[in-house]
Amino acid sequence: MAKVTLMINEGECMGCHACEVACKQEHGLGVGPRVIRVLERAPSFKPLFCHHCEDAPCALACPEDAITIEAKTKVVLLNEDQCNGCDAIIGKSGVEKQQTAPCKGECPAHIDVQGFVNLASKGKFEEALKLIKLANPFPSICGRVCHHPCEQNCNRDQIDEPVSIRAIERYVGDLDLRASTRYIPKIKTRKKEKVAIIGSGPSGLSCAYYLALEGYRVTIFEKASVLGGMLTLGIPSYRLPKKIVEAELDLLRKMGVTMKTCVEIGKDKTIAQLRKEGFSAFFIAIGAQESPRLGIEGEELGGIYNGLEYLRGINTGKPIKLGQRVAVIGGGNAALDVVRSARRLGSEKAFILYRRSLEEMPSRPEEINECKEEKIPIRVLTQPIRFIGKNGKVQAIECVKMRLTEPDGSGRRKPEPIPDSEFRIKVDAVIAAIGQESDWCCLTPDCTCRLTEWGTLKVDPLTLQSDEPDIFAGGDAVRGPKSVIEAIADGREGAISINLYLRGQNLRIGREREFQVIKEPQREKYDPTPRILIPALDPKKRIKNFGEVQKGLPKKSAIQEAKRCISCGSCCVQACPYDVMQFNHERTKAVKCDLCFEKRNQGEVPACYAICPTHCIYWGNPKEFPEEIYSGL
Amino acid sequence: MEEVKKIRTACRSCHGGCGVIAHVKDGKVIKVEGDPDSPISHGSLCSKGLAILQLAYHPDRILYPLKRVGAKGEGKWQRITWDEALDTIAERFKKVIADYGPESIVVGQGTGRDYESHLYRFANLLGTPNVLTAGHMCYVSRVGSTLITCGTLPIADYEGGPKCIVMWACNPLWTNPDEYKGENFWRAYKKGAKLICIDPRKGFIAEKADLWLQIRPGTDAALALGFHHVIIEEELYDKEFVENYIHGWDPFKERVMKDYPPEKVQEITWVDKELIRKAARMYATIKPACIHWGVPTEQTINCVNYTRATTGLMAITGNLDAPGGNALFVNPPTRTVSEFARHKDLPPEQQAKRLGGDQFKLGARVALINPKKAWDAILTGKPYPLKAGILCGSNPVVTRANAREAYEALKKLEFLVVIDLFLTPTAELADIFLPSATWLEQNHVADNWKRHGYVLARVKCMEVGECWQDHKIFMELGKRMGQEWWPTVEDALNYLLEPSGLTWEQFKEKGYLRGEMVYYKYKQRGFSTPTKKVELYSTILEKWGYDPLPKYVEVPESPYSTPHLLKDYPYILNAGLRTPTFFHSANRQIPWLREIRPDPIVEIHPETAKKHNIKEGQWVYISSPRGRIKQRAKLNPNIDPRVVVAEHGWWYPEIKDPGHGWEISNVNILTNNAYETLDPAMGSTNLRVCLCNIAPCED
Repeated sequence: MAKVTLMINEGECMGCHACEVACKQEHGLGVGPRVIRVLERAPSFKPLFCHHCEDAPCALACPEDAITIEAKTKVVLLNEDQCNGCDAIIGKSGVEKQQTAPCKGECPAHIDVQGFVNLASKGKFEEALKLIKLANPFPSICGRVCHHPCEQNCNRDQIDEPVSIRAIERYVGDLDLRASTRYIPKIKTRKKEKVAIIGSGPSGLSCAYYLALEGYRVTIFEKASVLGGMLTLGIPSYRLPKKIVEAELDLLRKMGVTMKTCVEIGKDKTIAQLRKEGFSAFFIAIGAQESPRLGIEGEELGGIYNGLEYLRGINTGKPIKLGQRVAVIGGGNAALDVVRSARRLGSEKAFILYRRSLEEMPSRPEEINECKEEKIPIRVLTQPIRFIGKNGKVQAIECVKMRLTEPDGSGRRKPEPIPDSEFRIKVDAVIAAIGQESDWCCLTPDCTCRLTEWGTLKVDPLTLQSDEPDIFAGGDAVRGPKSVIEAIADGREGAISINLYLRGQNLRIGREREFQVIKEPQREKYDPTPRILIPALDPKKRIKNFGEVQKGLPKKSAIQEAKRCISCGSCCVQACPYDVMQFNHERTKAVKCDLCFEKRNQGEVPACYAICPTHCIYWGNPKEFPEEIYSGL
Repeated sequence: MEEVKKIRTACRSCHGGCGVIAHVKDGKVIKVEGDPDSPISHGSLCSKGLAILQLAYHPDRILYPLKRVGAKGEGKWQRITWDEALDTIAERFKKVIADYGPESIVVGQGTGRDYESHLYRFANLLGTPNVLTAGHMCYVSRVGSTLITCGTLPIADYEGGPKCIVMWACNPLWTNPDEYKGENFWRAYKKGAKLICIDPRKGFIAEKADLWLQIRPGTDAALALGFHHVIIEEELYDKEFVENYIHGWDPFKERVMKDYPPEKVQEITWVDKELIRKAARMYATIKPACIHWGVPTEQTINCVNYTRATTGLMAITGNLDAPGGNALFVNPPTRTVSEFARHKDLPPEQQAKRLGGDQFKLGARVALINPKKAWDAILTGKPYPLKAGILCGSNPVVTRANAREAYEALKKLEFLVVIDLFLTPTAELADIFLPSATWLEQNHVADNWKRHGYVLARVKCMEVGECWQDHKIFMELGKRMGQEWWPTVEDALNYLLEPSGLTWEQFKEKGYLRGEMVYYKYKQRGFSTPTKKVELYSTILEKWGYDPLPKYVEVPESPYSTPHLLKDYPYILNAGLRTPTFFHSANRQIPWLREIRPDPIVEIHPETAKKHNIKEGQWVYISSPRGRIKQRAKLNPNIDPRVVVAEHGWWYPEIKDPGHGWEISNVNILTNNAYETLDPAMGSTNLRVCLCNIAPCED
């Protein structure tokens, strides 16, 4: 069946905007919605236009089924009469603002959350999965460990409680894991270029996924003996079972990604050598897996470990024996992972030592809660000042009690020691889990890459390109220790940049995405409904092993919870991966390219195609377009 | 309920010429699109032409003649009839003629809008030599400079298949104003041509070019002479042509070899000398090669120098009147503008009174005056006062150098008539306002002032209010002044078309005419100059007391000529950055176009911006010794850090008071029109280059 679409040769767009105005005239559009938009950053111009995607996300996302894919030509058409303008938006929000649901806006990867939740509410889980995968390849992973800024900003919270988005994402992802064949989007024609990814954590894996879809030959180099980075070596399996990570690695292998373990770039091979082997671009995703020192007396005594090495030991099957009384110093997720793992491995008197108050602990509230359920003590406002040892091994920690000062200019309260409050705690082992750093041996002297003062790699924040044009980087290596979803988002941006770089195109134009987030949705028509409770293992039983603590939702619960979403953002606008869906605020309806359907029925050609002075617009069967025409990530 | 009629016509949203098909239903134009059969544009059209309906049907358009009530510039108007308007003007003009003489009336226009023929006829029959156009520094300045050099204006012959294109200070893909359109250039380039781009700023064309010469603004004449040096030194010129068809080769050669070696030209132009050599060689050795020059090369003290030197490049490389080079196209079989305008009927004693005529003899030769001469005559009464004026399609308050002086003068002028579509800041200073018709509302033989050999049928598709096409306005006013005209506009067109044997009705059907081209005409009859050769050494300039050879004179306000200004004004202001949506001061009120470019933009190099703590998108002040304006900053690493590039033509139609914000972002508040800065022969203004400083806006 013939498919008809538009494609624009960006390299020959000279930014005259004639296509924009021709389109407006053809469709009687006033000021506001711009179905074609040309971005300008001389000497480059980037036209944004409707791709009439196969499996169009806008069509999938529309709750009124107002967007359909025409059977013969596959043109994606909006039926204006059926569009109700997503009536959750109140008032007119101004000509240029197209309001996005906060879940999409706040998600570091800008997943169309509203879209997939709506599809889930209708039981359309396959479509929901496709939508998620446009921005995040690993819903089963994030569905377990993401810190869910979407939920934090969910507008449902203005009625009762946020939608349990992470649990729904997990449901959708797990369904695919259990399927007989995993979903893999169509992979483009194989390209000749080879790309090397250094590091197999979430950032590297995400980059590999998107590059593989573009047809590139991807090889991941991992210095450890196991793949997955923090997903495998850091996060304990009671939060993220190893088999989930394994399943996603398998998916990548099926997509043609090569993975090599025990290869440390910088030692076993250098980037210069990889270039000689024909690799045209690099994505450095080495994470931040080194631990900084505490810097206090006695740190070199035996029995004192750092959190990352302790977790790595467990995750590689060689756990460190600690004894009963284990002090874990730190207040972040890693510290909690450590103390809960130690408890499971028999250290029945393991506890947390944290120098600030409970309110200030950076770990997620639900983690702290589970910790309390497991009856693990958290000693706050306590700072270790030195370790006391005997025969070279640690015996006790001398601590001082802390108090919080009055708020300073920024509103933060600083901890300061209470004089004469020193006391000692007897311990068998100490684990310091206070932060993470990167190991930069992959950068050899001939490389022009530079590190920031925090030990992270300096890159252009928009394109992730380092000072060396063919080296890109993302994840913790660039941001410092941050979240999994940010690492995944960086992986995708890195893949986009590498693709543009290898095609000789401008890396920056069109990359800045601005979301006007809707903050005042309609509330009156919704009755309060409580948020679903996520089933979990009995705390008394689960501390005996590393079985997964949180269980997934059953199907009925997932659908029920998804129905709580109020679709506060305009659905098709959220869904469009190219940000070209328009909303006409005067008529409160969506507006999109229809490939000049009416004109074509009269044997004429689309207005934009007819008018372009450089003929950079192609229209017709994409199979017949010249090779150079690019329409990708 | 009618069917939709399709009418073929020609656009004029810039100087015009692109073919348009207008869809008309029940007397209204409902859509315009490109005409694939247009020999000029082949179906393409720019955003300005496409948006014509928003212009033609704009709610702010003035649809009836207006008379000022209240003080000048107060913004109070009263509707009057055409009869009252024209009678009032005629009466007033007659009084001025009786008391002071016709030379005390200034007739003016802005950029070329295809009514030169009628405007000049009106002025000539009135007896005034004082016609104020943009011609002293735009197009006609090029016409005059090439007239005395090789007889007529050379045009880049894209159809002839150039193998090397030099794009000099021009972006035809956005601006399209003259004979050549962006589409023609693109077609020729894609067929396979080397591209040399000379531009201080890296745009689309520079990016595609084989060689990009990032030139210091205003130094083009030096570069042209530098090219000559290389071509002469390496003997890359066409020896046969030089021997037989160049006048003044020896003195020209002597000057070039002595004064313009690449090392010196590098210092002047900031272009690396090896790049100068490369470009010169590429142009001189690849055949055929054409040069497409843009208006910034004329808006400078070196207008005549540059144009003559560059014509010289075309000549000595054998590309003049060669296919694929720079052609001297044959006129179509119509009466010329000159004939229609009856230049010969302006009495010599009146010609002698032309303001500045003695000073700018080449300008006088092409029948124009420098605007400052008019402002001075109004403000000081010297050498004699101007007492009345009629301006058509012109907004000098926004578009002429030293805008404040233009404003003062036009405000002081005792009787001013303005013909326009909207009440612009200039129109607000008028005593009578006459509403003009857009290009959809007129019948005309278009493009007859250009030199590509075409004339096109511009066909009336609609009418709005009581708007008249400009040709009719001059005609009816002229008749009231006792001048010889025709009963209707179409009768005049019949006269214009007479040599072709076609009437206007017949010509309309045909759509266009073209003069049959013959290349290498000079081989039969030489060039139309006194010596019948290409006069690198101009006998005419010599006769008038000017330097007969081209040279480079330093930009009047620059780091080298006025270094004492650098402390306060450390950057070169490159004014007049073009946009894809606006044409000079036009289109700021067109919604589709203003949506694309809502604010005036000044481009600043990121390092320079950093020094002043200026962020992307921030409003910044730009100041020069003449004043201060504000525009929005756009950081561009593809300009020189010592240069700041600002847009021109900005006023704010949405500001309803009669000033319409003419002082806020108008780059001509900053530019200089002093006599010592003008081209000595043509009177061209330095519209594009002066010194400036930048600072972030506090508010």
